[in-house]
Amino acid sequence: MRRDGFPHLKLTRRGVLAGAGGLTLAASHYPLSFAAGLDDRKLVVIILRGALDGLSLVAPWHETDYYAARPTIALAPPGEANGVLATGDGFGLNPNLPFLKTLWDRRQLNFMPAAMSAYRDRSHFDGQDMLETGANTVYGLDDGWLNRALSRLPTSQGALGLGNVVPLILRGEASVSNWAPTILPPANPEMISRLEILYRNDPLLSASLSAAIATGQIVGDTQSLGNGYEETARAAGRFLAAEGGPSAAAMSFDGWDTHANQGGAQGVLANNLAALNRAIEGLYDELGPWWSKTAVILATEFGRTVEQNGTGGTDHGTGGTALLFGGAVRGGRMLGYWPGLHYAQLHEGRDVYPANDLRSLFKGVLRDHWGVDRADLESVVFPGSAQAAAYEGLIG
Amino acid sequence: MASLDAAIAIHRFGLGARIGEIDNVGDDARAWLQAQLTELSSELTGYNLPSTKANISLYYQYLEAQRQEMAAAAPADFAGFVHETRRREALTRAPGGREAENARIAESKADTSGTAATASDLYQQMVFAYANEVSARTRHASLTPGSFRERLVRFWSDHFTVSINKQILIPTGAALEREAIRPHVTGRFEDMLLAVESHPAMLAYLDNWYSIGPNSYAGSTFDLGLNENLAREILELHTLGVDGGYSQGDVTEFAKAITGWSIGNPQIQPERLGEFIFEPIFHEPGSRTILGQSYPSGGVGQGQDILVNLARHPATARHIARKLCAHFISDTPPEAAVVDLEAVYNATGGDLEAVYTALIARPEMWDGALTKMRSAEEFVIAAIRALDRPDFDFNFLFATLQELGQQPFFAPSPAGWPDDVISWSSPNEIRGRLDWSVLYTASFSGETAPADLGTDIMAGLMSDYTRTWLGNASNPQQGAALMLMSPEFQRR
Repeated sequence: MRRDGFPHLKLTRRGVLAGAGGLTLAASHYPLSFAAGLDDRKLVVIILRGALDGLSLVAPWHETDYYAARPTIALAPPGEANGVLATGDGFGLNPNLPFLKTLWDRRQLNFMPAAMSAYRDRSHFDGQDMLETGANTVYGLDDGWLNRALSRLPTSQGALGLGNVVPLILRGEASVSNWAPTILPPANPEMISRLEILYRNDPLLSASLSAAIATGQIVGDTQSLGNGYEETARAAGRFLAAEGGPSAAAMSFDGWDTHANQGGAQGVLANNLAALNRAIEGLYDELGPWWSKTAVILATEFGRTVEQNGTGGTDHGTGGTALLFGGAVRGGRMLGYWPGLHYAQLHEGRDVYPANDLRSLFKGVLRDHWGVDRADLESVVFPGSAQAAAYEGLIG
Repeated sequence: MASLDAAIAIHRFGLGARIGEIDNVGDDARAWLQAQLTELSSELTGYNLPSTKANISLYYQYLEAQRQEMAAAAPADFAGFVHETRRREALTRAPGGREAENARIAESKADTSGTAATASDLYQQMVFAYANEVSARTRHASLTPGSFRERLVRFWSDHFTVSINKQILIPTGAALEREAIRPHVTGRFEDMLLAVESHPAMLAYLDNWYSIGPNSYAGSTFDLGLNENLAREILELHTLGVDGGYSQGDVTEFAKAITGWSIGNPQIQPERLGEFIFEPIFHEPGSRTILGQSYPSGGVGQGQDILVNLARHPATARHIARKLCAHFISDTPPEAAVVDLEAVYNATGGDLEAVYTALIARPEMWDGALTKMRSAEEFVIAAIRALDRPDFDFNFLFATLQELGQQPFFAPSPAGWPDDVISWSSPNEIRGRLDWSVLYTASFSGETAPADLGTDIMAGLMSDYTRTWLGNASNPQQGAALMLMSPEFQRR
């Protein structure tokens, strides 16, 4: 799902959900089917792949060093033309994020600057690995923290990954399905039952087929979802809000690796952020009454250099910026502390210092939103993360 | 067991069997594979595809036309070419029988002699360059008797991923594979590396074409500077690997060394438009130190020397050996196999043919239990080969690969496509492959019974259970779709 980053190859799929109205086969062991008496709170994780420039998401406009480091891409102070949308304490949201400002004003959004997983280098792929596994080292775990958390819940409705590949954060023991829009006409039920027989001795393929069938039964109408990030986010909202919908959803948006000409209040990054704003508003719309039971985490693998580079962009950095929002969230705050942008305050003289551990945010949400117990958080979900204490008071 | 070996040679090493192909392998499947390396070529012959130089010239014509049409703010949309309705039509039409249609369209559109081409026309031509290139490589893969060789081309093409996510890549991305990878696929890794990193498509994709040394003439005169994207990905993805022992300092030094590696354009060296150029006024002067070794100043040679040393570095040998084993053997390849290939790489200075020979000799490769899933594109090519339909319509191919999550030259990141079982067996992927298989086999003639077709294509790899259920299908079309979806055909 990486369409917004590619404006000249705009795709306007109106996905017809495979199986909607056509598939009637039971998939009794699949967790997306009904389960009784469970916690109905939803958790959504949005991963921005490519390393979002955190200083352009929530800008520290109070810092003179911010303007010194970024002569052509810094965002103006609030109140000026194209200025940031003030969140207090000298920070402000990118002007292309008006819906997020609305959430901030309703106290349903927090931001965490200088945020980082345990990763301390600058490879996208390794950074994403540690963000999604929650491990202390690259490739230290081969399943995702969201899956491990889900598997600790006494009851859950399972999880859904948006996109053609289940993201690592959702991979693991707990059963997960995935969905992407399609224009392919659905196979008929007889064909599907034949394939179920053919896969009888193949645990991997039979589990995937069952999950696909169950997912196809959940949501009928996937028309008018919009494009790009918005299509994905709206689809997620529709699945989550459906009867028997999943407890968790994870989606990835690509297109944040802004090495060149990233722009400021206008430009490539601004367009992507505007698309992100639409996506989040779309998720909110689709969730309807479920919004009040939902927490959304938005994170990226790392931040970008404080100084703009020689080509009007930014290179791979360290501390990034994460968001936590939703109807279930106690918002209106900056989480963690701000290390500052003066040269002496930077990580290796070039990046935002990684002052705030993302795992503290994740653990606080899992504990207070889903009730994952402390021992499980420390030993199973985020092993070896004792130094990253769960944040208090993020929910409710 | 000759028949099992033949099936393994075709499916695990290659791109899947064509009808009757397993019988042609003969008794010595290893020799059959080896002969592909020594006797065949990877060249795309007979397709008459334009050079990158010509395609970049087209790109700059497009930019110029666009500049002149300032009123027309929005560029032509690729979606207009293969927009939803067209793709839907393409998918519902019985595939096949429309050979060369796209080439004809491309020719008629390209003929703009006498009239000034509009930006929209020129954009269409860039899209057709992409379409023709993708069609040619797919047709070649569908027909080639050397499908092991072609798998290797695709392995390297993914290793050196470029994406059409920038406009200049639309007509040049696929050309990188043809111009920089195919000629070197059985040669030395360092030659492929030098060809790829100096190919305009790579220089554009990873931003090096306008990376400028801070102390170069251009850097000190104008407000321009360094971009370390290509240097980092060369170290991390193309050569040493992420744990290959380099530091941030090495990345920056290397980035400086390859400043000036650019593309001739209307402003800079216009006489070499569309070619790789070394531009001295962009180049950071001075010697550079990378991995503890000093490289004296010396223009383009400085970067070339670094690349050659990176190609010969033991960490590169390890990285490539492991990646090949993970691609061909299993997601978690046995250490003995990795060490074996690594040793051959080191001993031969990166002679790729020797490394592949070592792979052919590995016992793990000849185990009849298939351990990897076919990627979406591998699955589609295997289906084309099995049903003998190399004359596909480009729109059908494009829509298919998009639906199954693997549009050619549009990988999600410079790391390329996923290469693991879980990624290619997700519920949505299986659902997509099933829906597509039903569509693709709707016109299956049924002259051969599906169970017999399965036996012909998969031989000793197909289980009795699968054979029985192909035989039990309610009609030949359903049987053929089930064959494509069978656990054995989905894997390799």
